[in-house]
Amino acid sequence: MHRDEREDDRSFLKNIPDDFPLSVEPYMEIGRRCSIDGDDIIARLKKMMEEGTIRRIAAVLYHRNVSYTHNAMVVWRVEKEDIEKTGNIMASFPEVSHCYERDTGDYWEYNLYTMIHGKSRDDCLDIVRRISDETGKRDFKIFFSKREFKKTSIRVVNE
Amino acid sequence: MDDIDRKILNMIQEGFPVDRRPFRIIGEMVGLNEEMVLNRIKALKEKGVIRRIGPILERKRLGYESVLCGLHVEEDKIVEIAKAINRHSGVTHNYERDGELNLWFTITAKTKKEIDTFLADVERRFSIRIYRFPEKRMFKIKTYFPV
Repeated sequence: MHRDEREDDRSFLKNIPDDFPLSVEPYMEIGRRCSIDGDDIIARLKKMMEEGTIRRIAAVLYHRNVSYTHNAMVVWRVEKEDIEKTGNIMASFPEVSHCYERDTGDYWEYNLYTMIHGKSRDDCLDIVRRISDETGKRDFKIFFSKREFKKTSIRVVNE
Repeated sequence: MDDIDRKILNMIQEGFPVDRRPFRIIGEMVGLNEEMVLNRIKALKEKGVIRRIGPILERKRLGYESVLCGLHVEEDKIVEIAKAINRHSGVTHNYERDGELNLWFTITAKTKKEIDTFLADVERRFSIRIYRFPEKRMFKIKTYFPV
């Protein structure tokens, strides 16, 4: 994408709150706050969704309050030639929210990273077992979360 | 939370209507009027079920760099170090985890240089080593909790 378009998208997004006002016409209200026509805001957001700059406009939940109390980052060692197939299988699990191939960070040999969510520790372990069985990957490490210090979203902020 | 709340939550996690009257559209799908939907969503937010409703951005398209970092810190230092890391506005996730690397966070900024400078500063201040695990390929990013 062109540099200027990016800059333009970023400056537009500065007007769009992270958390929409809960009123009958939220887009109109956002428009009033920044003096942009509400219908123009709707059109622009739709365009940015089509272009992929906005992945979705959606509700984000507090997962702990909807009984997904446990999450774990699981790192897997996968041979290069198996990455594509394995990554796609892991991504197909609904309990997996994130799946990335990553650099090993000069630290270890784990190169595929998944975030899994479950309703208990055992639930998470069971999901890991099923992923391991389905992919045939046996070398992995589980990092359960203990404490949340920060959880926000990527935002465009005023610099 | 009843079945209608669940239906609404599952629906708006997939997508919130981009329309002048989004709550009317949701209402049509669950058989409620606009005001009833709005009141239910307000209540779900007050109860701490909904964190926010808004855009989920694709950082790469906006030209941002990001990296996952992991480090080992002593238990008695973890709060202090986590706070120092959180001071950067581009830190979106920061968790204490069980394991050899017990603090994991992601940081986003306009340039790699800004990230490197910040991480080097934290490393120096606390005499710690932060391991970087930059993304090579994305297979999935979609957080959806069926309720």
